[in-house]
Amino acid sequence: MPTDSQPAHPFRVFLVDDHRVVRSGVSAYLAMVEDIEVVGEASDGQQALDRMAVLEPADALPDVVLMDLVMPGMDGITATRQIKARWPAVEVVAVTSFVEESKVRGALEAGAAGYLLKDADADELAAAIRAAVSGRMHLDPAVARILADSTRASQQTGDSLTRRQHQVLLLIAEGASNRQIAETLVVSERTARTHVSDILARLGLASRTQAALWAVQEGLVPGPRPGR
Amino acid sequence: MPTSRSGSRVPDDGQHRAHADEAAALGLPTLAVALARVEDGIAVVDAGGRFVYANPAACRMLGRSLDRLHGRELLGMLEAVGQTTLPGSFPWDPADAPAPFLCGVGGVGGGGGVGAAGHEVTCSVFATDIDGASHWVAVLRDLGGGRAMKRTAVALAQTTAQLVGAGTVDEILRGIARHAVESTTATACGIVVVGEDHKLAAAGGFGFPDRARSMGAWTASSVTLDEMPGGAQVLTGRSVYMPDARSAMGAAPATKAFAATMDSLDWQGSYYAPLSWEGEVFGVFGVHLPSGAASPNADVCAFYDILANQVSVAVTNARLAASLERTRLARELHDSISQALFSMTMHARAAQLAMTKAELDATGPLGRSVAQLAELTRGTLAEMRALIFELRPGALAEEGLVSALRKQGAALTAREQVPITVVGPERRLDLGAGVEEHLYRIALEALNNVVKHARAEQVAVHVTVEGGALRIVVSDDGAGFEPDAEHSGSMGLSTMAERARAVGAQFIVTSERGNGTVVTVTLPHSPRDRTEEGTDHAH
Repeated sequence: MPTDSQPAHPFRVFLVDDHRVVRSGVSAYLAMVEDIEVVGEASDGQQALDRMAVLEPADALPDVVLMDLVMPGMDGITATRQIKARWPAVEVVAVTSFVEESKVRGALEAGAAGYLLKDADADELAAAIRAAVSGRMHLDPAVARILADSTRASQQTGDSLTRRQHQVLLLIAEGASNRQIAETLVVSERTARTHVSDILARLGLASRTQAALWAVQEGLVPGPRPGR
Repeated sequence: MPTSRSGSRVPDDGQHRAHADEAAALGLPTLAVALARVEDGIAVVDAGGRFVYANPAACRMLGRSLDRLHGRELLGMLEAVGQTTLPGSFPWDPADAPAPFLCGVGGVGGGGGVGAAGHEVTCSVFATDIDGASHWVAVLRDLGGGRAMKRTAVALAQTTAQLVGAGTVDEILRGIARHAVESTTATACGIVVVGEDHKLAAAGGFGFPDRARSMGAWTASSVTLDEMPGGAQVLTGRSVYMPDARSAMGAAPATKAFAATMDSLDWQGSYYAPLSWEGEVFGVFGVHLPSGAASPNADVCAFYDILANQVSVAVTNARLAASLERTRLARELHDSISQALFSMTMHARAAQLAMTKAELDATGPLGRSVAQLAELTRGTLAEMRALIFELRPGALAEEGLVSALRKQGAALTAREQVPITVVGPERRLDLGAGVEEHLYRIALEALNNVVKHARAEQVAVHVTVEGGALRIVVSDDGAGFEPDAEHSGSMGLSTMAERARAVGAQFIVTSERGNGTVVTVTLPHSPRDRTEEGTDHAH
């Protein structure tokens, strides 16, 4: 059950998985969860895009897409990238059996707001959906460990950041966009962008996601929930 | 070379192509070009012995073009010479193929007798299936280069036949061993290969008086390649001839039992050729020679080496096929069962939520059953993941030691209800594939011992890298044992110690009755700088 205030309408969820048996199980579970409803499903990335395009005019786009990564036809990482490009407000949570670093990175770089493994507890699925809607990132503990470890390998410390950069980093870790950073710190968006790229360069990181994870890793901000 | 006497012209390239097309039409595209160019005459005949294909060399020897051979009978084109007789008429029984025989060609079918244009060849035949129909491959070779050449011809022909048709790997290995015995003075020939446990196991042989016992002796004696007389040299990739292998094998503890199974065999010297693939020696092709036999000359050695190469190819092919099969199985399990199990955990949770909604007692019989079902499904899912991991070749190399141990730990926890925690760096350790495999097996064996024997409440695996050493510690709070006691041998401790030795690691077991067990493996280890790798996938 949601800990936040009850939403006006249930969170709309769209399922993408090439295994019908998985869609049926997830759908049966989510049907029993009060604040979540399943509005559609697809068996590969292209079908998902097509069906969402139909939902759009009816203003029935999902809030969250649960996305399998390895599927015949268009794979989940490509589909995630396209969904985020066409409908930035739709959040995508990857649900997969694979823990390879390249897949995790691929999904997060494509804009996924979460990464769950297909041995997660059912309630973790609901938690990830709620987290995505409220702009937080939910990672399977195993996945978080992998990312944190590989990020740590850059061997940088927060001491090398200026106070301003430190502030910006915290905002990145909260998922703020360049515009939001600019508004919060009362600077131009261009300045915010410069800060972000300076931070990445200073820490030897390649993306905002990594920077956010690095901040979690360094204990600058609270991280994803520890194990179940 | 007698070839020049046949009077046939050298086929031009156009003819090569025509022959290649014919071979391709038979479903032999990869071999077609090779077949068109080899000096041996190679013909394919159907079950009734009628030509369906002949390469240019065969056409030359038989004195007819391919279109004039089509449909004619092979035996009608061959003539008995000297004391030899031709095999009986077709159809032949594939299980009882005629031995290679001498015959005349080129002057028969048109005028009788091996005439001026004709000459003698050896003919070796091999049964094969093409498109499900039984066929025979006949290999004709001019008798020009002496016995060794003749043997080589037959050996090469046999390879061709195997590539075309191929039986099971057992049949192939036995066939090659038989070939070594029948073509030379050898009395027996055996093939042993290194298994996953690094021990030698017999893979095929011919000529042994008690075949089953001779083959079983290898496994029973648990021999590694370097313990076998001559094995050290074979390991370097070179063949070795031992004039008195019988005494050496009989004296060495590792091979004593094997030598004893050959008591009744006329055997003194042995020739051992390495089986290898991509530089890695994985077995021995052993030819046993009778007492009083001369040491094999260069020709004969070369012949044995060729046969050993064929065995290497056959074994490697079989291993590759097995590994592909395991990969396929892993994928199937992943695609079907683990997806269904994940779905079941969802359904089970849905049932629990439905019960709550219906205000049913979660602690009642129904609630307990559903909870039990959820728990079992989760456990089975963990086991399935571990199983898939074990099946998939290269999985360890892909996911790394710690991740692998975590998976196995989760599976054992689910199966045995013993909580196992695995702690270690998530990022890949810089270990060679062989080293990682050994360390993984040691830790896994230690975990298996704990759940089997220790009755522990808590089990922990700690993997640490510090101070230039990689350390794996598997500890439990269970029953413990006396390391010196007799039964400790059954716990795989010696295998674990051996694995540790193989990678240059230190292996220590400390245990005491009632006070648990700690297994520690320590390996010198200096990680390389991983900075690059930490970020290079990010774009």
